[in-house]
Amino acid sequence: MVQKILFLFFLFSGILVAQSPPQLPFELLQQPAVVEAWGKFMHKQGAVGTLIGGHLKKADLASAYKEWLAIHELAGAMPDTVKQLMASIPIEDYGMEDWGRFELARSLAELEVPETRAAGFHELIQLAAMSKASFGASAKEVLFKNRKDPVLQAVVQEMKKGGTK
Amino acid sequence: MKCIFAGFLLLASIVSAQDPAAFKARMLAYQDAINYSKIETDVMVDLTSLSPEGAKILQVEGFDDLNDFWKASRRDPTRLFLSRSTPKPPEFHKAGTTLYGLLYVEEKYVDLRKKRAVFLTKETLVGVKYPRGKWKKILRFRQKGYAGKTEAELVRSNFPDFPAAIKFADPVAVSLGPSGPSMHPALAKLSQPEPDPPDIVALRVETLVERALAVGDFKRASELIANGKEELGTSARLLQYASLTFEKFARYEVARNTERLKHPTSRLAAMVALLEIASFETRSAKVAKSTLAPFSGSEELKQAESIASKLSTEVTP
Repeated sequence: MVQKILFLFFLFSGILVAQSPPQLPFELLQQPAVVEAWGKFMHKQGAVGTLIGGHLKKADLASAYKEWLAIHELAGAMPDTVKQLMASIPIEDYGMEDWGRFELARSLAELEVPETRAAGFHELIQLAAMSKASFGASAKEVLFKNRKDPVLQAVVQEMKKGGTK
Repeated sequence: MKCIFAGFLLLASIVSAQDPAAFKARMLAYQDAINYSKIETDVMVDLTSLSPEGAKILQVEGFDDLNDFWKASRRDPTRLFLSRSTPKPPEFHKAGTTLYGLLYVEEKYVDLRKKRAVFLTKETLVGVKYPRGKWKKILRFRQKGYAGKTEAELVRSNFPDFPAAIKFADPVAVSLGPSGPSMHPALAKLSQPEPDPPDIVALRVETLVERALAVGDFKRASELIANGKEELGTSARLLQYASLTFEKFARYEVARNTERLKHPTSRLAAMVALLEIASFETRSAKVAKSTLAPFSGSEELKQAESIASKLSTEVTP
Protein backbone atom coordinates (compact mmCIF):
# COMPACT_ATOMS: atom_id res chain seq x y z
CA MET A 1 0.00 0.00 0.00
CA VAL A 2 2.76 2.39 1.00
CA GLN A 3 4.60 1.58 -2.19
CA LYS A 4 1.50 2.41 -4.24
CA ILE A 5 1.06 5.73 -2.46
CA LEU A 6 4.71 6.59 -2.96
CA PHE A 7 4.44 5.63 -6.62
CA LEU A 8 1.40 7.90 -7.06
CA PHE A 9 3.10 10.71 -5.15
CA PHE A 10 6.19 10.59 -7.38
CA LEU A 11 4.00 10.34 -10.46
CA PHE A 12 2.00 13.47 -9.58
CA SER A 13 5.12 15.34 -8.49
CA GLY A 14 6.79 14.45 -11.76
CA ILE A 15 3.81 15.74 -13.75
CA LEU A 16 3.78 18.98 -11.79
CA VAL A 17 7.50 19.57 -12.15
CA ALA A 18 7.36 18.80 -15.87
CA GLN A 19 4.71 21.49 -16.37
CA SER A 20 6.40 24.75 -17.22
CA PRO A 21 4.77 27.89 -15.76
CA PRO A 22 2.73 30.01 -18.18
CA GLN A 23 4.86 32.48 -20.02
CA LEU A 24 4.05 36.16 -20.29
CA PRO A 25 3.76 37.87 -23.70
CA PHE A 26 7.03 39.80 -23.39
CA GLU A 27 8.83 36.58 -22.50
CA LEU A 28 7.30 34.79 -25.47
CA LEU A 29 8.31 37.61 -27.79
CA GLN A 30 11.92 36.93 -26.90
CA GLN A 31 11.72 33.49 -28.50
CA PRO A 32 12.58 33.64 -32.24
CA ALA A 33 10.48 30.57 -33.12
CA VAL A 34 7.39 32.11 -31.50
CA VAL A 35 7.96 35.45 -33.20
CA GLU A 36 8.40 33.76 -36.56
CA ALA A 37 5.24 31.65 -36.23
CA TRP A 38 3.28 34.62 -34.96
CA GLY A 39 4.57 36.81 -37.81
CA LYS A 40 3.43 34.21 -40.34
CA PHE A 41 0.02 34.07 -38.72
CA MET A 42 -0.32 37.85 -38.74
CA HIS A 43 0.64 37.90 -42.41
CA LYS A 44 -2.03 35.30 -43.15
CA GLN A 45 -4.54 37.21 -41.06
CA GLY A 46 -3.82 40.36 -43.07
CA ALA A 47 -4.45 38.49 -46.32
CA VAL A 48 -7.67 37.02 -44.96
CA GLY A 49 -8.70 40.50 -43.85
CA THR A 50 -8.53 41.68 -47.47
CA LEU A 51 -10.71 38.74 -48.52
CA ILE A 52 -13.24 39.41 -45.76
CA GLY A 53 -13.36 43.07 -46.76
CA GLY A 54 -14.05 42.06 -50.36
CA HIS A 55 -16.89 39.73 -49.36
CA LEU A 56 -18.46 42.31 -47.10
CA LYS A 57 -18.34 44.88 -49.87
CA LYS A 58 -20.66 42.54 -51.77
CA ALA A 59 -22.74 41.97 -48.61
CA ASP A 60 -21.68 38.32 -48.68
CA LEU A 61 -21.59 37.66 -44.96
CA ALA A 62 -21.48 33.86 -45.32
CA SER A 63 -18.25 33.93 -47.35
CA ALA A 64 -16.72 36.44 -44.96
CA TYR A 65 -17.62 34.11 -42.10
CA LYS A 66 -15.93 31.16 -43.82
CA GLU A 67 -12.68 33.12 -44.11
CA TRP A 68 -12.97 34.27 -40.52
CA LEU A 69 -13.58 30.72 -39.35
CA ALA A 70 -10.57 29.48 -41.31
CA ILE A 71 -8.29 31.97 -39.60
CA HIS A 72 -9.64 30.88 -36.22
CA GLU A 73 -8.96 27.26 -37.12
CA LEU A 74 -5.45 28.21 -38.16
CA ALA A 75 -4.98 29.96 -34.82
CA GLY A 76 -6.20 26.81 -33.09
CA ALA A 77 -3.60 24.73 -34.89
CA MET A 78 -0.72 26.97 -33.77
CA PRO A 79 1.84 25.69 -31.22
CA ASP A 80 0.92 26.27 -27.58
CA THR A 81 3.49 29.01 -27.12
CA VAL A 82 2.02 31.00 -30.02
CA LYS A 83 -1.49 30.36 -28.67
CA GLN A 84 -0.36 31.77 -25.33
CA LEU A 85 0.86 34.88 -27.09
CA MET A 86 -2.28 35.20 -29.17
CA ALA A 87 -4.53 34.81 -26.14
CA SER A 88 -3.92 38.46 -25.30
CA ILE A 89 -4.46 39.67 -28.87
CA PRO A 90 -7.97 39.17 -30.25
CA ILE A 91 -8.27 37.98 -33.82
CA GLU A 92 -9.60 40.69 -36.12
CA ASP A 93 -13.04 40.26 -37.65
CA TYR A 94 -12.69 43.17 -40.10
CA GLY A 95 -16.20 44.43 -39.44
CA MET A 96 -17.89 41.08 -39.97
CA GLU A 97 -19.49 41.04 -36.52
CA ASP A 98 -20.90 44.55 -37.05
CA TRP A 99 -22.50 43.60 -40.35
CA GLY A 100 -23.78 40.39 -38.80
CA ARG A 101 -25.48 42.34 -36.04
CA PHE A 102 -26.91 44.69 -38.64
CA GLU A 103 -28.38 41.76 -40.59
CA LEU A 104 -29.67 40.26 -37.37
CA ALA A 105 -31.43 43.52 -36.47
CA ARG A 106 -32.96 43.80 -39.95
CA SER A 107 -34.19 40.20 -39.74
CA LEU A 108 -35.74 40.78 -36.33
CA ALA A 109 -37.57 43.80 -37.76
CA GLU A 110 -38.91 41.58 -40.54
CA LEU A 111 -40.37 39.24 -37.94
CA GLU A 112 -42.60 42.09 -36.75
CA VAL A 113 -44.46 42.32 -40.07
CA PRO A 114 -46.66 39.29 -40.85
CA GLU A 115 -45.92 39.42 -44.59
CA THR A 116 -42.14 39.42 -44.11
CA ARG A 117 -42.01 37.13 -41.08
CA ALA A 118 -41.08 34.07 -43.13
CA ALA A 119 -38.24 35.99 -44.81
CA GLY A 120 -37.04 37.09 -41.40
CA PHE A 121 -36.87 33.50 -40.20
CA HIS A 122 -35.19 32.45 -43.43
CA GLU A 123 -32.48 35.03 -42.83
CA LEU A 124 -32.12 34.07 -39.17
CA ILE A 125 -31.59 30.43 -40.11
CA GLN A 126 -28.76 31.49 -42.39
CA LEU A 127 -27.27 33.68 -39.66
CA ALA A 128 -27.61 30.88 -37.11
CA ALA A 129 -25.46 28.68 -39.34
CA MET A 130 -22.61 31.07 -38.52
CA SER A 131 -22.83 29.98 -34.90
CA LYS A 132 -19.22 30.73 -33.95
CA ALA A 133 -19.87 34.44 -34.42
CA SER A 134 -21.81 36.32 -31.75
CA PHE A 135 -24.60 37.32 -34.14
CA GLY A 136 -24.96 33.65 -35.17
CA ALA A 137 -25.39 32.62 -31.56
CA SER A 138 -28.00 35.37 -31.08
CA ALA A 139 -29.86 34.24 -34.19
CA LYS A 140 -29.87 30.70 -32.81
CA GLU A 141 -31.39 31.93 -29.56
CA VAL A 142 -34.17 33.77 -31.42
CA LEU A 143 -34.94 30.68 -33.47
CA PHE A 144 -35.03 28.54 -30.36
CA LYS A 145 -37.48 30.91 -28.69
CA ASN A 146 -39.71 30.78 -31.76
CA ARG A 147 -39.24 27.08 -32.44
CA LYS A 148 -42.98 26.39 -32.16
CA ASP A 149 -43.95 29.20 -34.53
CA PRO A 150 -45.77 27.65 -37.52
CA VAL A 151 -44.21 30.21 -39.86
CA LEU A 152 -40.73 29.11 -38.80
CA GLN A 153 -41.65 25.46 -39.10
CA ALA A 154 -42.97 26.08 -42.62
CA VAL A 155 -39.75 27.88 -43.59
CA VAL A 156 -37.67 25.01 -42.22
CA GLN A 157 -39.75 22.49 -44.19
CA GLU A 158 -39.40 24.52 -47.34
CA MET A 159 -35.63 24.85 -46.87
CA LYS A 160 -35.37 21.10 -46.31
CA LYS A 161 -37.28 20.45 -49.52
CA GLY A 162 -35.06 22.85 -51.37
CA GLY A 163 -32.01 21.08 -50.01
CA THR A 164 -30.78 24.12 -48.15
CA LYS A 165 -29.38 23.67 -44.71
CA MET B 1 -3.99 7.74 7.47
CA LYS B 2 -1.42 6.95 4.83
CA CYS B 3 -3.68 8.46 2.20
CA ILE B 4 -3.90 11.70 4.18
CA PHE B 5 -0.12 11.73 4.50
CA ALA B 6 0.27 11.18 0.75
CA GLY B 7 -2.25 13.96 0.03
CA PHE B 8 -0.35 16.29 2.31
CA LEU B 9 2.91 15.53 0.54
CA LEU B 10 1.23 16.08 -2.80
CA LEU B 11 -0.17 19.46 -1.75
CA ALA B 12 3.18 20.47 -0.29
CA SER B 13 4.91 19.67 -3.55
CA ILE B 14 2.36 21.75 -5.52
CA VAL B 15 2.83 24.74 -3.22
CA SER B 16 6.60 24.51 -3.22
CA ALA B 17 6.66 24.33 -7.02
CA GLN B 18 5.21 27.88 -7.20
CA ASP B 19 7.45 30.81 -6.45
CA PRO B 20 5.22 33.81 -5.73
CA ALA B 21 8.10 36.25 -5.56
CA ALA B 22 9.44 35.20 -8.93
CA PHE B 23 6.03 35.38 -10.51
CA LYS B 24 5.42 38.84 -9.03
CA ALA B 25 8.75 40.04 -10.37
CA ARG B 26 7.92 38.73 -13.82
CA MET B 27 4.50 40.35 -13.67
CA LEU B 28 6.01 43.70 -12.69
CA ALA B 29 8.47 43.44 -15.54
CA TYR B 30 5.58 42.70 -17.85
CA GLN B 31 3.66 45.72 -16.62
CA ASP B 32 6.71 47.88 -17.22
CA ALA B 33 7.07 46.42 -20.68
CA ILE B 34 3.53 47.25 -21.69
CA ASN B 35 3.42 50.68 -20.06
CA TYR B 36 4.72 52.47 -23.10
CA SER B 37 1.97 55.04 -23.56
CA LYS B 38 3.12 58.62 -23.54
CA ILE B 39 1.08 61.72 -22.98
CA GLU B 40 1.13 64.06 -25.95
CA THR B 41 2.95 67.26 -25.12
CA ASP B 42 0.16 69.45 -26.39
CA VAL B 43 -2.22 68.24 -23.73
CA MET B 44 0.27 68.28 -20.90
CA VAL B 45 0.04 70.92 -18.25
CA ASP B 46 2.92 73.34 -18.21
CA LEU B 47 4.56 72.61 -14.91
CA THR B 48 7.82 74.38 -15.59
CA SER B 49 6.62 77.73 -14.25
CA LEU B 50 8.54 79.10 -11.35
CA SER B 51 6.95 79.35 -7.94
CA PRO B 52 7.21 82.66 -6.05
CA GLU B 53 10.12 81.28 -4.12
CA GLY B 54 11.98 80.45 -7.27
CA ALA B 55 11.65 76.74 -6.85
CA LYS B 56 10.68 74.88 -9.93
CA ILE B 57 7.36 73.23 -9.63
CA LEU B 58 8.87 70.21 -11.26
CA GLN B 59 10.43 69.61 -7.88
CA VAL B 60 6.99 68.95 -6.46
CA GLU B 61 7.12 65.64 -4.79
CA GLY B 62 4.57 63.40 -6.33
CA PHE B 63 4.84 64.93 -9.76
CA ASP B 64 4.58 61.42 -11.04
CA ASP B 65 1.23 61.17 -9.33
CA LEU B 66 0.03 64.27 -11.12
CA ASN B 67 1.31 62.77 -14.30
CA ASP B 68 -0.55 59.59 -13.50
CA PHE B 69 -3.65 61.57 -12.69
CA TRP B 70 -3.65 63.21 -16.10
CA LYS B 71 -2.92 59.90 -17.72
CA ALA B 72 -5.79 58.26 -15.88
CA SER B 73 -8.11 61.07 -16.89
CA ARG B 74 -7.01 60.72 -20.47
CA ARG B 75 -7.81 57.03 -20.33
CA ASP B 76 -11.22 57.70 -18.83
CA PRO B 77 -13.59 56.09 -21.36
CA THR B 78 -16.47 58.23 -20.15
CA ARG B 79 -14.82 61.45 -21.26
CA LEU B 80 -13.72 62.63 -24.64
CA PHE B 81 -11.18 65.40 -24.20
CA LEU B 82 -11.28 68.13 -26.77
CA SER B 83 -8.67 70.37 -25.20
CA ARG B 84 -6.77 70.79 -22.01
CA SER B 85 -4.51 73.69 -21.27
CA THR B 86 -3.21 76.00 -18.57
CA PRO B 87 -4.27 79.50 -19.45
CA LYS B 88 -2.13 80.92 -16.69
CA PRO B 89 0.73 79.74 -14.49
CA PRO B 90 0.01 78.16 -11.11
CA GLU B 91 -0.84 80.47 -8.22
CA PHE B 92 0.55 80.11 -4.77
CA HIS B 93 -1.27 80.98 -1.56
CA LYS B 94 0.24 81.16 1.87
CA ALA B 95 -1.66 80.15 4.99
CA GLY B 96 0.59 80.63 7.97
CA THR B 97 3.66 78.67 7.13
CA THR B 98 1.98 76.40 4.62
CA LEU B 99 2.06 77.16 0.95
CA TYR B 100 -0.61 75.93 -1.41
CA GLY B 101 -0.08 75.73 -5.12
CA LEU B 102 -3.20 76.21 -7.16
CA LEU B 103 -3.17 75.40 -10.80
CA TYR B 104 -5.78 76.89 -13.08
CA VAL B 105 -6.60 74.31 -15.64
CA GLU B 106 -9.07 74.75 -18.40
CA GLU B 107 -10.34 71.65 -20.00
CA LYS B 108 -13.05 71.05 -22.45
CA TYR B 109 -14.46 67.62 -22.76
CA VAL B 110 -17.52 65.71 -23.71
CA ASP B 111 -19.03 63.70 -20.92
CA LEU B 112 -20.16 60.61 -22.73
CA ARG B 113 -22.41 59.56 -19.87
CA LYS B 114 -24.34 62.81 -19.72
CA LYS B 115 -25.72 63.44 -23.13
CA ARG B 116 -22.43 64.71 -24.45
CA ALA B 117 -22.42 68.01 -22.65
CA VAL B 118 -19.41 70.26 -23.05
CA PHE B 119 -17.87 70.79 -19.70
CA LEU B 120 -15.47 73.50 -18.67
CA THR B 121 -13.58 73.32 -15.44
CA LYS B 122 -10.97 75.38 -13.69
CA GLU B 123 -8.83 75.35 -10.59
CA THR B 124 -7.04 72.27 -9.47
CA LEU B 125 -4.95 72.25 -6.34
CA VAL B 126 -1.55 71.07 -7.38
CA GLY B 127 0.40 70.73 -4.21
CA VAL B 128 1.07 71.81 -0.68
CA LYS B 129 4.41 72.85 0.73
CA TYR B 130 5.01 72.52 4.42
CA PRO B 131 7.52 74.69 6.29
CA ARG B 132 10.97 73.67 5.12
CA GLY B 133 9.40 70.62 3.61
CA LYS B 134 8.98 69.34 0.13
CA TRP B 135 5.96 69.92 -2.01
CA LYS B 136 3.26 67.35 -1.43
CA LYS B 137 1.04 66.38 -4.27
CA ILE B 138 -2.53 66.80 -3.17
CA LEU B 139 -4.04 64.27 -5.51
CA ARG B 140 -2.12 61.57 -3.73
CA PHE B 141 -4.76 61.70 -1.04
CA ARG B 142 -7.28 60.39 -3.47
CA GLN B 143 -5.55 57.07 -3.22
CA LYS B 144 -5.87 56.92 0.55
CA GLY B 145 -9.50 56.06 0.92
CA TYR B 146 -11.01 59.41 0.01
CA ALA B 147 -12.86 58.09 -2.98
CA GLY B 148 -16.29 59.60 -3.27
CA LYS B 149 -15.41 62.88 -1.62
CA THR B 150 -15.08 66.00 -3.69
CA GLU B 151 -11.71 67.61 -4.27
CA ALA B 152 -12.65 70.56 -2.06
CA GLU B 153 -13.73 68.30 0.82
CA LEU B 154 -10.57 66.36 0.35
CA VAL B 155 -8.41 69.44 0.66
CA ARG B 156 -10.24 70.94 3.60
CA SER B 157 -10.38 67.68 5.52
CA ASN B 158 -6.65 67.30 5.17
CA PHE B 159 -5.63 70.93 5.45
CA PRO B 160 -7.82 72.80 7.94
CA ASP B 161 -5.84 76.00 7.42
CA PHE B 162 -6.49 76.04 3.71
CA PRO B 163 -7.53 79.67 3.15
CA ALA B 164 -11.29 79.89 2.85
CA ALA B 165 -10.94 82.96 0.69
CA ILE B 166 -9.31 80.97 -2.05
CA LYS B 167 -11.72 80.13 -4.73
CA PHE B 168 -11.46 76.44 -5.26
CA ALA B 169 -14.23 74.92 -7.21
CA ASP B 170 -14.36 71.22 -7.48
CA PRO B 171 -14.96 69.89 -10.97
CA VAL B 172 -16.77 66.89 -9.51
CA ALA B 173 -19.21 69.16 -7.68
CA VAL B 174 -20.42 70.79 -10.84
CA SER B 175 -23.81 69.39 -11.64
CA LEU B 176 -24.67 68.79 -15.21
CA GLY B 177 -28.12 69.32 -16.56
CA PRO B 178 -29.99 66.56 -18.32
CA SER B 179 -28.92 68.00 -21.65
CA GLY B 180 -27.33 70.99 -23.23
CA PRO B 181 -24.13 72.76 -22.33
CA SER B 182 -22.99 72.79 -18.74
CA MET B 183 -21.11 75.58 -17.12
CA HIS B 184 -18.64 75.87 -14.37
CA PRO B 185 -20.09 77.85 -11.41
CA ALA B 186 -17.46 80.50 -12.03
CA LEU B 187 -19.20 81.25 -15.29
CA ALA B 188 -22.65 81.43 -13.73
CA LYS B 189 -22.86 85.11 -14.54
CA LEU B 190 -23.47 84.04 -18.07
CA SER B 191 -27.06 83.20 -17.38
CA GLN B 192 -27.88 82.29 -20.93
CA PRO B 193 -26.53 78.84 -21.75
CA GLU B 194 -24.38 78.85 -24.83
CA PRO B 195 -25.55 76.61 -27.65
CA ASP B 196 -23.39 73.61 -28.43
CA PRO B 197 -20.65 74.39 -30.92
CA PRO B 198 -21.32 72.98 -34.42
CA ASP B 199 -18.61 70.33 -34.16
CA ILE B 200 -20.19 68.97 -30.99
CA VAL B 201 -23.65 68.92 -32.59
CA ALA B 202 -22.16 67.09 -35.58
CA LEU B 203 -20.40 64.63 -33.31
CA ARG B 204 -23.61 63.93 -31.43
CA VAL B 205 -25.59 63.43 -34.62
CA GLU B 206 -22.88 61.17 -36.07
CA THR B 207 -22.97 58.95 -33.01
CA LEU B 208 -26.74 58.70 -33.01
CA VAL B 209 -26.80 57.98 -36.74
CA GLU B 210 -24.21 55.24 -36.32
CA ARG B 211 -26.22 53.71 -33.50
CA ALA B 212 -29.44 53.79 -35.50
CA LEU B 213 -27.78 52.25 -38.55
CA ALA B 214 -26.08 49.55 -36.52
CA VAL B 215 -29.53 48.26 -35.61
CA GLY B 216 -30.78 48.69 -39.17
CA ASP B 217 -32.99 51.73 -38.50
CA PHE B 218 -32.55 53.71 -41.72
CA LYS B 219 -35.64 55.81 -41.08
CA ARG B 220 -34.36 57.08 -37.74
CA ALA B 221 -30.87 57.71 -39.15
CA SER B 222 -32.33 59.69 -42.02
CA GLU B 223 -34.44 61.78 -39.66
CA LEU B 224 -31.43 62.44 -37.44
CA ILE B 225 -29.38 63.67 -40.38
CA ALA B 226 -32.22 65.89 -41.61
CA ASN B 227 -32.75 67.39 -38.13
CA GLY B 228 -29.00 67.83 -37.68
CA LYS B 229 -28.71 69.69 -40.96
CA GLU B 230 -31.53 71.98 -39.91
CA GLU B 231 -29.89 72.63 -36.54
CA LEU B 232 -26.47 73.27 -38.03
CA GLY B 233 -27.67 75.50 -40.84
CA THR B 234 -24.61 76.85 -42.63
CA SER B 235 -22.39 74.30 -40.91
CA ALA B 236 -24.41 71.36 -42.26
CA ARG B 237 -21.33 70.20 -44.18
CA LEU B 238 -20.06 68.90 -40.83
CA LEU B 239 -22.54 66.06 -41.22
CA GLN B 240 -20.74 64.74 -44.26
CA TYR B 241 -19.36 61.80 -42.30
CA ALA B 242 -22.83 60.88 -41.04
CA SER B 243 -24.15 60.98 -44.62
CA LEU B 244 -21.29 58.78 -45.80
CA THR B 245 -22.03 56.28 -43.05
CA PHE B 246 -25.66 56.25 -44.12
CA GLU B 247 -24.58 55.64 -47.71
CA LYS B 248 -22.30 52.76 -46.64
CA PHE B 249 -25.14 50.97 -44.86
CA ALA B 250 -27.59 51.68 -47.68
CA ARG B 251 -25.14 50.22 -50.22
CA TYR B 252 -24.74 47.08 -48.11
CA GLU B 253 -28.50 46.71 -47.74
CA VAL B 254 -29.06 47.08 -51.47
CA ALA B 255 -26.40 44.47 -52.26
CA ARG B 256 -27.82 42.09 -49.65
CA ASN B 257 -31.40 42.39 -50.84
CA THR B 258 -30.48 42.13 -54.51
CA GLU B 259 -29.28 38.64 -53.64
CA ARG B 260 -32.40 37.93 -51.55
CA LEU B 261 -34.64 38.75 -54.50
CA LYS B 262 -33.52 35.44 -56.03
CA HIS B 263 -35.13 33.41 -53.26
CA PRO B 264 -38.95 33.10 -53.24
CA THR B 265 -39.21 33.13 -49.44
CA SER B 266 -37.34 36.37 -49.02
CA ARG B 267 -38.30 38.13 -52.27
CA LEU B 268 -41.17 40.17 -50.82
CA ALA B 269 -39.11 41.27 -47.81
CA ALA B 270 -36.21 42.16 -50.11
CA MET B 271 -38.53 44.32 -52.20
CA VAL B 272 -39.78 46.08 -49.09
CA ALA B 273 -36.19 46.74 -48.00
CA LEU B 274 -35.20 48.01 -51.44
CA LEU B 275 -38.26 50.27 -51.57
CA GLU B 276 -37.22 51.68 -48.21
CA ILE B 277 -33.71 52.50 -49.48
CA ALA B 278 -35.17 53.90 -52.69
CA SER B 279 -37.15 56.41 -50.64
CA PHE B 280 -34.00 58.14 -49.33
CA GLU B 281 -31.87 60.67 -51.09
CA THR B 282 -28.74 58.60 -51.55
CA ARG B 283 -26.77 57.14 -54.42
CA SER B 284 -27.92 53.68 -53.41
CA ALA B 285 -31.52 54.76 -53.90
CA LYS B 286 -30.93 54.85 -57.66
CA VAL B 287 -29.41 51.37 -57.55
CA ALA B 288 -32.36 50.11 -55.49
CA LYS B 289 -34.83 51.56 -57.99
CA SER B 290 -33.04 50.01 -60.96
CA THR B 291 -32.92 46.66 -59.14
CA LEU B 292 -36.68 46.76 -58.68
CA ALA B 293 -37.37 47.91 -62.26
CA PRO B 294 -37.75 44.36 -63.70
CA PHE B 295 -40.57 43.71 -61.20
CA SER B 296 -42.47 46.82 -62.19
CA GLY B 297 -46.21 46.19 -62.38
CA SER B 298 -45.99 42.77 -60.72
CA GLU B 299 -48.41 41.83 -57.97
CA GLU B 300 -45.52 41.09 -55.66
CA LEU B 301 -44.06 44.58 -56.02
CA LYS B 302 -47.49 46.13 -55.50
CA GLN B 303 -47.83 44.19 -52.27
CA ALA B 304 -44.32 45.24 -51.25
CA GLU B 305 -45.18 48.88 -51.98
CA SER B 306 -48.26 48.60 -49.80
CA ILE B 307 -46.20 47.17 -46.90
CA ALA B 308 -43.42 49.73 -47.38
CA SER B 309 -45.86 52.64 -47.37
CA LYS B 310 -47.53 51.29 -44.23
CA LEU B 311 -44.14 50.98 -42.51
CA SER B 312 -43.00 54.43 -43.60
CA THR B 313 -46.02 56.07 -41.97
CA GLU B 314 -45.33 54.37 -38.65
CA VAL B 315 -44.00 56.81 -36.09
CA THR B 316 -40.47 56.11 -34.90
CA PRO B 317 -40.52 55.69 -31.12
